[in-house]
Amino acid sequence: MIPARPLLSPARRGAVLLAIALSGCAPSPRPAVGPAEPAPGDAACQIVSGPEVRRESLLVAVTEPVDPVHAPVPRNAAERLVFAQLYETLVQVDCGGRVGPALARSWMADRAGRRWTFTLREDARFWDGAPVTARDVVASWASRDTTAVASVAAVDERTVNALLTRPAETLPPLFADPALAVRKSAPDRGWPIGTGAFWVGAATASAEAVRAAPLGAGLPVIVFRVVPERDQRDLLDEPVDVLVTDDAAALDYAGTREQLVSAALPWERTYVLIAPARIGAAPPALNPATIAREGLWRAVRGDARTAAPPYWWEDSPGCPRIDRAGQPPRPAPIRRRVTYARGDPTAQELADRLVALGAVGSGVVAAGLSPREFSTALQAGSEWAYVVALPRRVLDPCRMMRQSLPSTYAASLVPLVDTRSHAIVRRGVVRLGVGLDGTLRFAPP
Amino acid sequence: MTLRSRILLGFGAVVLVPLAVFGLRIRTEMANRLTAQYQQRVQSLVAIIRADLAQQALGIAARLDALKDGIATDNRFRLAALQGTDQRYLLDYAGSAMRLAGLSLLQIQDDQGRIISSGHFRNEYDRLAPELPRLLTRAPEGTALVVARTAEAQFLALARLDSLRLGGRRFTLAAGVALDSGFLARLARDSELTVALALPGDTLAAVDSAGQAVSELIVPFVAAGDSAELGSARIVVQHSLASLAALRRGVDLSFLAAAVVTAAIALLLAGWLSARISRPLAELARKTTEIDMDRLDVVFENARDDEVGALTRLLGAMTERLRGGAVRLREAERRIAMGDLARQVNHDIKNGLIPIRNVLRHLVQAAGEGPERLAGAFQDRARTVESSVSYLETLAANYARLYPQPAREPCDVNEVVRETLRRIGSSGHATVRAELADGLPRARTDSLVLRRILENLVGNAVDSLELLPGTVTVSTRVGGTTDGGAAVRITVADTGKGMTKPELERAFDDFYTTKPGGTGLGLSIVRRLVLDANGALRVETERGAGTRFIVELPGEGA
Repeated sequence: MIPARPLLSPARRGAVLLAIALSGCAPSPRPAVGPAEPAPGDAACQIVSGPEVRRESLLVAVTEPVDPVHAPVPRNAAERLVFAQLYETLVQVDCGGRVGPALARSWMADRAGRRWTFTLREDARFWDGAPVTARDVVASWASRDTTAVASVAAVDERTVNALLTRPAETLPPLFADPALAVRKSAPDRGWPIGTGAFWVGAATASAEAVRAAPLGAGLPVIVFRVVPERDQRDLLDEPVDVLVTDDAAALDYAGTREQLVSAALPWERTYVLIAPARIGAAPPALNPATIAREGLWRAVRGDARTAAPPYWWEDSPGCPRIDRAGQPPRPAPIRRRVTYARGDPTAQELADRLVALGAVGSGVVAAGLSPREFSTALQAGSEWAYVVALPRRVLDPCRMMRQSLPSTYAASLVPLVDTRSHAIVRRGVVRLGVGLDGTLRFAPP
Repeated sequence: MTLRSRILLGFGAVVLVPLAVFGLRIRTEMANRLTAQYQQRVQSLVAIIRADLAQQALGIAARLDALKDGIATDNRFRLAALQGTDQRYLLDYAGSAMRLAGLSLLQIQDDQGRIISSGHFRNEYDRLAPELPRLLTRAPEGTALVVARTAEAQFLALARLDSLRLGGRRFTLAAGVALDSGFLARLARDSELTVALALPGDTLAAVDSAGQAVSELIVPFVAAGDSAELGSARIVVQHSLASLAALRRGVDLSFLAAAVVTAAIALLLAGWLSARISRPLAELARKTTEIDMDRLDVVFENARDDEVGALTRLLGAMTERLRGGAVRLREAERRIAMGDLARQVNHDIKNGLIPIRNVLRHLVQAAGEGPERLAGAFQDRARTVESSVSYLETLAANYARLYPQPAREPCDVNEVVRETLRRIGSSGHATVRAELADGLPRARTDSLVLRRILENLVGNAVDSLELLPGTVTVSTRVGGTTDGGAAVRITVADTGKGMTKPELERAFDDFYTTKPGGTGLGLSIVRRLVLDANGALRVETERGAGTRFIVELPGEGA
């Protein structure tokens, strides 16, 4: 077991979370101007120090598929790692929750805190060399999946106005959400053209590997190899330069190799039990105290702890609540099953443990469903209960709530455990930083 | 029922009944033997399963021994189990050990009955489950079927128990192999054999063993749950009787086919045999019905040397004797008739000569009394002589007409009719008329014979009117066919008084007459002449309405 290296002190973590929680609070009469704090990417957010030797290329192994159709909004951890290197938002949020410039060099708000004006960086360019204009931002946001931004308009070539649905005293981190990344369609309808430090095209990417070439000097080529079924220890032997994993065996193995260093990433996922309200049936008698008492984290082979508040879904102004008072309860299913998405071992282990404890009722069994079946069943509320993995931190809570939680019925949601992954890096070949949501960023030397 | 039907039924019974008995016997014997074989196979399989389960139990015991040895030397396990360190290693220990040992169930409990590591259900750790080791300890030979639990389902396993001591504490190991449908299917190596497991309360317990080859093996059973008790499960072996049923169907079909073919052959044989027997008999019967005193020319010939041939020859000989008898009878009749005729002639001549002799005596007496009296006497008695002579002449003419010599040359019937009626002439009270058909074929009969026939019939018809007004009609027309040719039908009808039944019965007898001065030979002669001409004669009469004589003569070319 590799000990987790805390990124932030407990006091600092509390401050960050508080800042996130307060991001949707009532507006202040004074306008905010930014950036007011130091730029992100400082040493506090680095989990692996800089390279001792310059490499022409880095080999990064990912264990999930990468589909350009999803870009720039990731659907899994692999896509999150790849897309984060390719696409930029107007701002970025570092591991401490501080908002810093990205495509926008500065921003300011009106007195009400609803209209935010961003000034784009002069040297911002798309991969094809075209300058990034305010119209490009407006075009990118035309199909935005967010309810936080009511409207967006280009003031001039480099100035963009965004009107929020709710006023904010400070710049909300949702502007760093991948859904608001600036991009434009590629002529070949392949990878969208982004503005990040690396670029990918149809000729450099396939289902097995994605080759991200640097646009600036001093950066190596990053090759993301998609290896979903391999023993991850074999990957470390090949050798892979970077591997993000929650495989305990791989972590143990990496601990035996001097040339490898591992670092714990922030707690990035919270597993919750969602139980729809039932007609004529009591909901599972499960509460956080029970979870803590039973030591549910022991059932998980990966790095886990008892889930700890705060939870973004509990206090997100303007977002629907999971309990949805007034929604009719669902009919009880014929078979009482605690379901989970097949392929997620942590969810399976938690479902198994809940069944073993009898915590979700007698005669309840665990059942794995394909991801598509699981998503359909979750939205329909047709199963007795669900073990769902939610991101620990999100930039746009409402969007994540629509994407990950059921919306048509009332349900109880009980947090179970928090989990995190570890980055195994070949010593001295790359400098890695991490964002607020646990996204790794390959930093220039 | 006809002879043919009896032969057919007899053949069917003789052939089909033994075949049916044979088929049923074969069917029953086959079913009994196969059922016995099936039962033997079922018993054998039960013995194999019993041995297999014992072997499995030994294998589990051996693997438990190996696990115990491994645990005893594993310090990491010891520390985790006794000191509470490295809990994750302890939780995963049973899973790894179970897979390495080729087991499906492995549960390690501490001395409190608390699960510290479970191979088949990793996350059931810390659960108190002391019932399983307690009941397994009580099971005969330490082996029992166990309903094991995972998070997703339950499964059945054949399990054993063992224990070891670590640091003064006792740990129990329950291990087993899955007894799933695949395991049972492997036990039933024959596709016709099925092995099923009947747990307490299963509906399989109500298997109907009457119609199947069934045997079962009792195995100790531990159900799931905290209130589990040691019960009994049954491994039920059944042999499908489908093959026997199929065999029965095959036999039935074969038997049915054999019965149909045999019946068909039997019917054909019976038909051929019955035809061979009954057809000659029917032919004999038909020929026999043709035999008559007037028709004794029927020929009975058959070359067969069997009973039918002998019967045919007997009938032929009998017919031959009948023909001889008929000839003799006719001769006798002829002689009788000639005797009667001679007596009649004698009587008639005497009747004619007596007056003449009396006249001669009178003339002799007169001549004796004087020649002058002779002339007077002659004068007185000449009419008597003449009358007697005339009587004799008439008598002679009548006898001369009794039997003419036939010429047997084809004759024109209409012409003969016209000639006869012309010769007869007309009578004052009777109207004689002819209704002659055109295109009449010539009759194969002598014209003189035909004229004799017509003279007798027309004369009788006129006489039947008894001097009263009436009509005699002679008509001709083409009659029915005889021997392949057309016949000529001559009808002589009168409107007289007709005949009574006794008169009709004796009408053709010789010397029978109802007329004064009649010879009683007319119709007799007519009948004989018609028969001699190969013709037929019949009479239709009605008292008070008249009589019709119908003569059918063969036509020319017949």
